[in-house]
Amino acid sequence: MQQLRLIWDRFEEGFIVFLLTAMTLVTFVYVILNNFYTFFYSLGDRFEASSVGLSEFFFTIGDFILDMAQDMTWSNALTKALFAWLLFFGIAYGVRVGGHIGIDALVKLASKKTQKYIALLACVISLGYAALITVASFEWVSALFEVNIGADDLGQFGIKQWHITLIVPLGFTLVFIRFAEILVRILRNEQIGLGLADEAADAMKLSEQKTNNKEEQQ
Amino acid sequence: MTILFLFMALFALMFIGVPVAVSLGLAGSVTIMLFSPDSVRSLAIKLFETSEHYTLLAIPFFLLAGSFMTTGGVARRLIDFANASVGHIRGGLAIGAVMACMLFAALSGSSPATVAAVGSIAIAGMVRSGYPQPFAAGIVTNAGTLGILIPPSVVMVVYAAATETSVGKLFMAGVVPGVLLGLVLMVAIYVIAVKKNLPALPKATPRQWFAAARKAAWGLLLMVIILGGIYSGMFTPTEAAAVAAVYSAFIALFVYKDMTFKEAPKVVLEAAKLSIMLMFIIANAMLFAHVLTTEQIPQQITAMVLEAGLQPWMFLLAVNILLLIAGAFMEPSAIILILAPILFPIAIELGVDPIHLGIIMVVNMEIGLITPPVGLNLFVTSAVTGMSLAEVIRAAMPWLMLLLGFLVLVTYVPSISMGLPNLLGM
Repeated sequence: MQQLRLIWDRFEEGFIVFLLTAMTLVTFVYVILNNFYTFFYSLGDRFEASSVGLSEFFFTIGDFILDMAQDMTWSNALTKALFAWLLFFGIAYGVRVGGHIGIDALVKLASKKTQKYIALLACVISLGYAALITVASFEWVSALFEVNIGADDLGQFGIKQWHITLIVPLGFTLVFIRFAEILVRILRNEQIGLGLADEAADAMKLSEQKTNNKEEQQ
Repeated sequence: MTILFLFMALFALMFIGVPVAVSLGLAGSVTIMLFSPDSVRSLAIKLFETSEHYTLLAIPFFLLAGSFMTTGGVARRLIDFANASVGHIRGGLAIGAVMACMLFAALSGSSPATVAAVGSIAIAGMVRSGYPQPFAAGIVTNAGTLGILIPPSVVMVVYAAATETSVGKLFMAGVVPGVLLGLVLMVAIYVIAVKKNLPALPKATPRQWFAAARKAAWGLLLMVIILGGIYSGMFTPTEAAAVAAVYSAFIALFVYKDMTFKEAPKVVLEAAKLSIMLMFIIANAMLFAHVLTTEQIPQQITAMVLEAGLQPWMFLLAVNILLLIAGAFMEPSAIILILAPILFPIAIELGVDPIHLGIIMVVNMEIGLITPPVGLNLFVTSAVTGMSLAEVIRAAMPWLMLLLGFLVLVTYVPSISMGLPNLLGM
């Protein structure tokens, strides 16, 4: 069980890294293609007088890149789909690592015992939210499943709308599970709050990594 | 009645420690379920729509670029370059820290990231050279807020998405106010430094200066790529952000080599986590704002304001007070998404330029980042320096007055923000 959880956690992180990397690279490649063909066309123009062969050569490359860029109309749709998956898949990861910011200044004023009850309440409320959105999005996705329409610009690859939106109910189910885990930990007195984030600590992690690197270098 | 319920629910949830995003989403959802004929299904659709917003796609890309630059050693080289440029002036290290914040702000879109990147190196450096720690911490906490005023800026992207204004124009409008605020801080530091007789560095020789500039050039070039690319129309802001992300990964891995390939996934994961957290808040804030619109709140408030015969200057004053209060309690993106749809139509009616309103909101959000109880920059500085939160608040306070004065200036002199975009004919 513990093993399985560990594998899932690693997969979760790996998949998130993959999604963000993929959407960045897809957009990047599209931008480059979209700007490069003009570059080769202008090169072609420049050599038109002096060398017809060279000019033809550059025009051909320009045409080739332009064709590729035009073929990539799906890139925008794909980036958005990856973005949706990143966002809705990642929320549960955010809950696990305590990444979602909240205000605990007021709660911290209470006694330890009251804090526990307030945390339980906050956790139950969050569970209710996750359940609500799971049900709502499940209804929506099943409606999309029945009509089975292809996604904009991605339909040609056999991707249906419900393939993309499926991540919403899936993601919020995961969120529900993660909050349920927290609930159990609070009940067992293993954790006091929801583990709300400390953006500060995150920012530190980055710069710590950096200082470590520097030390390694020296 | 509906609205009262909406806001009461939001605050009740937030103050018992429910995550901000969940509070926004749940308050909105419950209000829709109780008072509106919309189906529950529309909640899911509304949340999902956020991910289809092309402008908002810029956010994960800019955050990714920021992560690579923080880890990849760009910040350190910018600080060295800044010190070589202004270090010989009295109070030079502090002035250099402000300059480094300005430069880093021109590469990254987030304020806490700027404080973390510059603060972790610059504050320690200043303390070593004999500056009082509260002085050093106060400066970086404040100058770090420039991260969202000097383009690129995540908060401006959110404002543009909420009001459908041009991101490029907003970015250009932020340049002059950002540089001006940096200069104001520098002058203030100089005055204090002369009075308190703070140390100055030996003047860098031209050779040293060029060496520092050459090392920082790879980072500085990114500024040209982002702003030049957007301005010349080569890229949309979203595309520029993607290029910035790939470029900064490239210089971190291949040029500066301050990080190894093995570390790259960790940096991407960190950026992804920040993006997810921010986008989750944004998605829910959009749901919340959707309730406001369906209840016709913006229209009602606009009618009320017009009826009251409010002058533009009174409106702007009210806007500032409202935003300062909101900024102390809430996350900037959420405030923009909730309040921009309300303030935007009024501003149009009163003849305030939407871009100018955007800059006013951004400057307010900067101040919100250094006012307790929810001031992210304060937390970051406290974490970077090991000072207690109360000490950081006290250290940042005197500089806060400067920011407030600057806010008044930006609010009532629209040409500071509108000058550059108008000049460029945008």
